[in-house]
Amino acid sequence: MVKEVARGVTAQGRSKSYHRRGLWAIKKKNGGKFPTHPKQQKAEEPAKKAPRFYPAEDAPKALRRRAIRKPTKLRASITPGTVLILLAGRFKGKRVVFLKQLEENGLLLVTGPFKVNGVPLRRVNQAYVIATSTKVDVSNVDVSKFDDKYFKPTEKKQKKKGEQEFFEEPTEAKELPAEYKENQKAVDAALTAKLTPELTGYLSTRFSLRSGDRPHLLKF
Amino acid sequence: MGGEKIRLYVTGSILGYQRGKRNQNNNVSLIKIDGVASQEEVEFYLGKRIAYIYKAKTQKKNSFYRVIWGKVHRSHGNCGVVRAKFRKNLPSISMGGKVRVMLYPSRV
Amino acid sequence: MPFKRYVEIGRVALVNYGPEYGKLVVITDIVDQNRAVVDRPDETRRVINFKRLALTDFKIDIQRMAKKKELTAALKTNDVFTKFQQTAWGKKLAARVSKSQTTDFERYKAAVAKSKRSKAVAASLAKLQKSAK
Repeated sequence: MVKEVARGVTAQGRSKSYHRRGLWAIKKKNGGKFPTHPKQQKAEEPAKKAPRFYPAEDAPKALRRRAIRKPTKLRASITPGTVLILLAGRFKGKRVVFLKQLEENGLLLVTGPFKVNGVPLRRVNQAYVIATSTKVDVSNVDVSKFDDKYFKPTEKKQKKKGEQEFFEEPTEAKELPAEYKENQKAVDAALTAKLTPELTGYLSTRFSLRSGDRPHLLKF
Repeated sequence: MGGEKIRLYVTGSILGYQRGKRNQNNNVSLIKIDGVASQEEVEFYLGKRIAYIYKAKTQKKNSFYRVIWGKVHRSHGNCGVVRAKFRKNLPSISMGGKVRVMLYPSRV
Repeated sequence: MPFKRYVEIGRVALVNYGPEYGKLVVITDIVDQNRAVVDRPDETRRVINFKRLALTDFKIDIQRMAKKKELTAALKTNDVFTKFQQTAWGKKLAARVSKSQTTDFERYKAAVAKSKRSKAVAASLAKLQKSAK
């Protein structure tokens, strides 16, 4: 580009730059004028009435969010059908089958199967899971209807507790709707059809570190 | 099946605080993880959560046991010792005590 | 108790320590009472301390500081490295390596098999004890 002799002062002035850039040639090509785009006609906005209400203070404009939300990147070792070991929570140590990654939040959808080891269809975070190299065939299992909303707890009605109600024991026990049980049975049936008795035994046993085990040397 | 012991952590011992000969930094504790003998082996444990579990006289949330959570921060030296940072610094009485290095967050 | 395995030119040894841990090498020359020159077909020859070596029963016939070609040829005719894998020592090392590479599922199957076996042994022992009474 053009050299700067001093701050803001180029070596080539306006006319020199014009010639150097060949603007005369562009003009010549275009019949004496610079090529222009036709002006974009802005659609006529319907006449707005002045608002009846202005807020007392200017509402702060929310900052534009630039982060793009993506689901957590799935580890290469986790593919549909992988047997995972749960590391924490109620089912720690259980070996479960991975079904799919939920799109909304990147959590993993797993199932025991329930009949085998008592783990129902459940969401699990990737960080709390060790992926083994054992894979189960899950091509028959239909998991399209399970998404994050399926697992969200139903909204509990916030009742203002009167004094009497405060001392009462909570009466409702949460019963799992029959639909959930049916879904579990359907998924389990499709899965267990593909499990060998060895695998069933494997999934029903829990994983534990033994004395002398070094997890950094264990191959899963 | 209930009651069987499932261990999903590796024990470690608390060696003390990060220190030079005459000054110590209580914010960083040094942990020796069992079975880890060299700096290359530490790589697996980086970022793993650590629990220092201790007993107290009074119950909190139906338990006499209390925890201080922390993380494996980086390796320390050549022989598998690890630097750990806890949410609250470990109390000095814990030196020589045991710590549980969990297997999560897992990268396997 | 006389020594059976001597440090000599052509002695096959196992490297016990260091980055080449577990590899078989051939002693091609002696430097002094602590060190030897050691060689292997796929590595450059180098000096190593005896403390890092474990001598094996095998010895090949080579000249002092044999050239790589001669060493490879001698090893090929003798096939010492495979012979070592077939010894009890070699098999133990191989078993250790394969155990370290077992997956979680394989470990489970091995545990099930072991428990079955020990139950069978205990059952037959109980039977024998009963009949002995």
